Formats: sequence, C-alpha cells, structure tokens
Amino acid sequence: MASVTLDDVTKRYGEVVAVDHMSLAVEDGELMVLLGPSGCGKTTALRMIAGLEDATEGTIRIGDRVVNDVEPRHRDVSMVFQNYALYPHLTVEKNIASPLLAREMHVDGEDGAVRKLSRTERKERVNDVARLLGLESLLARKPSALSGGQRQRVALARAIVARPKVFLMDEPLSNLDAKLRVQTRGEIVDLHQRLGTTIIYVTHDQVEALTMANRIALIEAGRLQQVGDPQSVYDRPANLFVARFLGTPPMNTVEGTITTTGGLGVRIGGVTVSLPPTPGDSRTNDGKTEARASASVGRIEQGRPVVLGIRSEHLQMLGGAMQEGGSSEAAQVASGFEPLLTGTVAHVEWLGHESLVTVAIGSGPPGARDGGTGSGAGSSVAITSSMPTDAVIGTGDSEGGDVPGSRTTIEVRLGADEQSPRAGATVTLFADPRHLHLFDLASGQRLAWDTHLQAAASR
Amino acid sequence: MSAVPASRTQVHHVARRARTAGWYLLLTALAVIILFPIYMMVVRALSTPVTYFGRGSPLYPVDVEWGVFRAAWDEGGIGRSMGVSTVATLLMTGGQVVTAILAAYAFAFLRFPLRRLVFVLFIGTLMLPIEVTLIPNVQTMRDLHWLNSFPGLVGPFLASALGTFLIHQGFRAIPTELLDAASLDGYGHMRFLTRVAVPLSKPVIASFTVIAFLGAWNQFIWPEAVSTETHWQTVQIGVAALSATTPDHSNIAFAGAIVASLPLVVLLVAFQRQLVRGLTAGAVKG
Repeated sequence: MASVTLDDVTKRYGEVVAVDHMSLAVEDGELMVLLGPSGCGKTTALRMIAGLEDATEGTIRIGDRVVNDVEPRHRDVSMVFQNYALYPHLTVEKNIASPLLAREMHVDGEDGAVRKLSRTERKERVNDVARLLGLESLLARKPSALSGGQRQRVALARAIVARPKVFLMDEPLSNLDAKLRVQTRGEIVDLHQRLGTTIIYVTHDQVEALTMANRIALIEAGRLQQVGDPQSVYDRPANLFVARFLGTPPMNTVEGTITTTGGLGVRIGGVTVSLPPTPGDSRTNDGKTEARASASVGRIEQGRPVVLGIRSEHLQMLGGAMQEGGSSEAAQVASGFEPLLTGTVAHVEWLGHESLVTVAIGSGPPGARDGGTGSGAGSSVAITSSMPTDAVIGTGDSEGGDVPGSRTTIEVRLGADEQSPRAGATVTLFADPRHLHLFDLASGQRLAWDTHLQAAASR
Repeated sequence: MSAVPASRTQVHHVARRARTAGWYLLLTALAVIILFPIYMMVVRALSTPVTYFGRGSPLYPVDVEWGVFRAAWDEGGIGRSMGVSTVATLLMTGGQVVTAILAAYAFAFLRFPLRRLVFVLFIGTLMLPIEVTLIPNVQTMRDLHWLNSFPGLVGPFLASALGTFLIHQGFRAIPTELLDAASLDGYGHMRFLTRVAVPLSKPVIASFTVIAFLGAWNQFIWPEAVSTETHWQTVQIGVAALSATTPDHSNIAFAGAIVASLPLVVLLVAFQRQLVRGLTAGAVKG
C-alpha cells in the first residue's frame, strides 16, 4: 500500500497538452476517482502513474519513490483495463497467473525480500484470488467462453493476484450492462474495504464517482478542477464545470448581473434574486475540499456579470394546477422560501420515484407575478439565453438552454408524492437561498458571497 | 395468396437457378483449362514416347510404362536434387518465418526513429524482381566462395519483405491494451513476442509459412545461377535438365516433373485454408 503523488505533472503530445500542470495527492488506502468528460486527460494521468506513458514534466511518486524513470513492472501497480485486456489464447487460470510469472513479488513471511514465486506458490495465490472473486469453476476456460461480467472479474483477479501497492482502474465498468455495473461497483468498493489498497479509478460516469469514491478529482481539459469528497464537490462546486458536470440533471444555471442596491442580489432579466447570508459557505476552505478559493476572482460589485446556479432538487414550484390562492404571498408562506423565478412548464418527465419538470423561463404570460425583493416591475422574467458560450467555461455538458436564441430552461425535481403541473402552466419557482450557487461569468469560478456581503452592506 | 406474386416468385426462382448453373458452367470450364495440362503431363509421363507419337499424340496414355518414375528418381537424378531442394526449402522457410516475425514485431511494437520510412523502404523491396539483384548477388556469393553450397542457395532468401508485411498486419490486429497489460505483468519484449504476439498471430504465420515454402521450392533462377555442379542442383533445375534430353526420353522428364510437384500437392491439400487466408491477408483474426 502506498500513496500516489503527482507534482506539477504535464503531458504533451506535440502541441496538444493532455495533462496540464496537475498536482494531486492520493492518500494511502484511498479510493480516488478521476472524473471528467472523455478526452479530458484522466486516462493519460492514470497511464503516467502506471508507467505506460512518460510525463513530459513534473514528478510522479508512488510512496516515497519517484517513479518517473521506473519501468511499469517495477512500479508495483496493477491495472484493470476498460476492454479487460485478457490474453485470449490463455485459460482464466493462466491469465490470472500471468503477473506472477515475470514479476518479482513480496512473499509472506519473508520481510522485504522480493523474488519470483515457485509453481506451488503461484497456484496457491491464483486459487486464493479465484475463491475471493468466485471464479473457481471458470479457471479452465478461455476468456471467449466467459460473459462480460466474468471477464471483468478475471481482469480484477489478475490485478489483485500480484498484491500491488496501488490498483489503477481505467473505466473498468463501462463495457458492462447497467445492472451488472451496479453490482460490480459494489464489489469493487467491497474489495477496496477488504484489501485496503490504494485505488485510482478513472471514469466519466459521475454516478460511479459519487457512489464509490473516498475523494473525487474532477478534470477538464487536462486541468484539475476540484478535489474533494463526493458531498463537498457536489454541494460546493468550485466552478461552473464542476457544477454542471455533477448531478442528474446538471445544475440549472442562469446568467445575470450583481446588484447591490437594497441588499446583495442578482439581477436576471427584469427581476432581482436576493442573496442572503449563507453561513455554510465558509466550509469551502475547511481543508477537506481543495476548491480553488474565490479570493483571486475579485470583488463582488455592482454590475458584475455572474451565473446563478441551483440544483433541480433544491427548487420548489407553485402554480399551474397546484396554485389555489394565486398570490405570491401565499406561495411564499407555503414554501417557506423566497420566490425566485417565473416560467412556463415546457414538459414533464415522470420517472416513477420522481418527476422532472422542465420550466421555460420567460415564456410566462404577461402580468405573471415575479418573485424577488419587490424590485420586479411585474413583467415576466424574460431571459433569452444570450450567454456567449465561449465566455462561460464548461458549458459543453450542460443540457438545454445554451443554444443561442433558445430560451433558458430550468429543471425542477418533484418527489413522487408531489403533483406534477400540466405542460403550459405558469409556475413560480422557489428556492432555499442557502442552495444558491454563484459563479463568475468570465472565469467560471465559484463566488462565495457571504464574505462580500458585509462589505457590500456596510457601504 | 393471389396467383401473380406466386408466379413472380417462381420466375425469380428459375432465374436464380439459371444464374447458379451459369456460374458452375463457367467454373467447370476454367477448371478444365487449368487441369488439362496437368492431365497431359500424366499422359505423357506414362506413355512410351515413340509409340505415343506413332499413335498421333492421343489424349490418353498408350503403352503404359510405370517404371518411368523410378527412372526419373534414379537415373534422372530427381531423388538427389529433391534432397537438395528439401534442405534448402526448409532452411529458407524457417529463416524467412523467424526473421519476418522479428522484423514485423519491431515495426509493429517498437518505436524508433524513421520507423515508417524504413518500413516503406523495406516493403518497397517487394517491387524488385529477382533479376535486378541477381548479378550482384551471384558476385557476392562467388566472393564468399558460397557457390555450390547451402549457404549460397539459401543465403539471400533468409528474409522476406512479404512475410514481414503479412505478419506485421497480423501483429497490428493485436489490441494495444494487451501490450500495456503485458508490460504491467512484467513481460519484456521477448516474452510478449513468444507468449502473446506469436500465439495470437498463428493463422497469419501459418499462411506465410505455406507461401514461403511454395516460393522456396519453386525457385529456379537463383539455384540455376549459384549451382554450377550437378551435385548442387535443386529439383526444379533437375527437371529442366531432364527435359532437355532427347525426345525419346521425354516421358522421364514428365515423370520427374510429377515427382517434383508431389510435395506441393500434398502441401496444398493439407494447408489449403492457410494459403487462401494468407492470400486474403490483412483481414486477419478478430
């Protein structure tokens, strides 16, 4: 077991920068997930740790040893590949045994000594691992006679049998069907708990990352965006990329400008959404998360272009079929939160345990009540998505609303017991202000407004 | 069901059968054209030349004489030259297969400067007919005092651009993850080559082995050039020499040709699949 440290590591292929000055410390025994869209450099980072690619710059350490110039086989790591990479002409038994044939191993009871294993020792280890993964009955088969899940298990067995310091897993579940993926996910977590070995796990699947990881490292365009435990990266995304990449559906984002008249708020179209103090935001820098601090982003000041983010599950909705009283005061009382925006229900997706309601902002009939702090002029909130996509980082993964000229849509998640509105109904959206996220439009960085609030208020 | 579609189906059916029959007719004709000379070779070998010509060269054997094969083997020297051919062919085939595997591995799995250029140049030698290199090569053999020897017969044919190309294609079909997995498993290049690359490329290697064997056995110009003594004649030279004798003994020459081609017939029957696969290579293995 060992820690893995990347120190300012860069990988270039000619002009292309695959990994850009990445520094990452994976702790001993940790399950670290490298998460990002395809082509973001996460696999390249993994392959550099394995020794299959050379780092152009920077230092890679496994434990205390700098391994930049160490051959893959001497790094004491095992890797599980996306396509399993089993030797098709060898039986399961020989596939599992293959790392034992050529590599020198630590042997039980022989302190620190490394040597090749004897035939009986190899057989013993293969049998142990086969038992651990339930492969005993398959040992004599060739990989072609196995199902996808069984092949994946053989690949895992081959990685485990060498008892490496670090497991590297490159999207190991992506070739399995959905059900098997969930099952194998659990098995890997279980294995990690039993073996206690450091695992670095690459995936583009945020569900895998959130469910399996001790910590997640989010990567985009070769750069590390944020590192933290699943909850902290989900709750406190460091920038727009992370905010939009994590969560299904992605976080709703709406462009606006900062206003400081009558308290801090964001002006979106004709309405102002007020930003009350958020005591929780100081958690950003508590050491658990390594979110890039917002200090460098600058001051929150009047007129500054920002992006307001809110997750679908943090929105509540009144209006349409549900609206009885029709007054926003009643709605406010009902939800306990401040009205945020008004819009028209575009469509409703019923998923059984929940419903996803897509609300088109700004398509409500004239005169619909807008929320806010009273500064609203009574017009409907008209936000055409004028967001220049190149000005906002990480827009590629947000769904809907980013096409120039289209309307901004917001997704709202309703519980199974909540009544869904009809399509076309006018609704008002409410949110607990503590769940509002604010990002700088130009840089995409998270803005922690509570620290700026006092300054703004004391002016 | 109405009658119209039924009759249409029938028409369709008949048309298809007619087309199939047409193809078979064409293929049969082609087969006859190809097999006829071979048949005539057997007829001429079995017939005593004088009687045969006296009967006006019929399409069937006359005055059959089975001893002609023995005569070709012993007096005709086919037995001895077949020995030379067998040894030379095995050396050439073995040499080509081994060097082609090693070269193909280098081109497929190693990274070195100018790899693509070297590969193209290497494969480009396929375009050179043997006549171009014949004179300088013979001169080299003479300088090395390798005329009339096995090194002289096989030396220039221990490497093969065709084999390198075919096996290279086979190696390229091996997923790169296997190389990655193997390097993490601690395999060096030699171990990866022998334990993974070669076993996975068996079909192409088998195909090339058959092709190399055929080529080596059928060589004519080169052994003719480097074996000036009868003792070092290969079987193809031996057959040619026999056919140059008097027409009275032409049956012995034909018998020699039949004997000389027997190993190839056996090979073709046994390795038909590999041969066809080799000729359609490139699409090797799934």
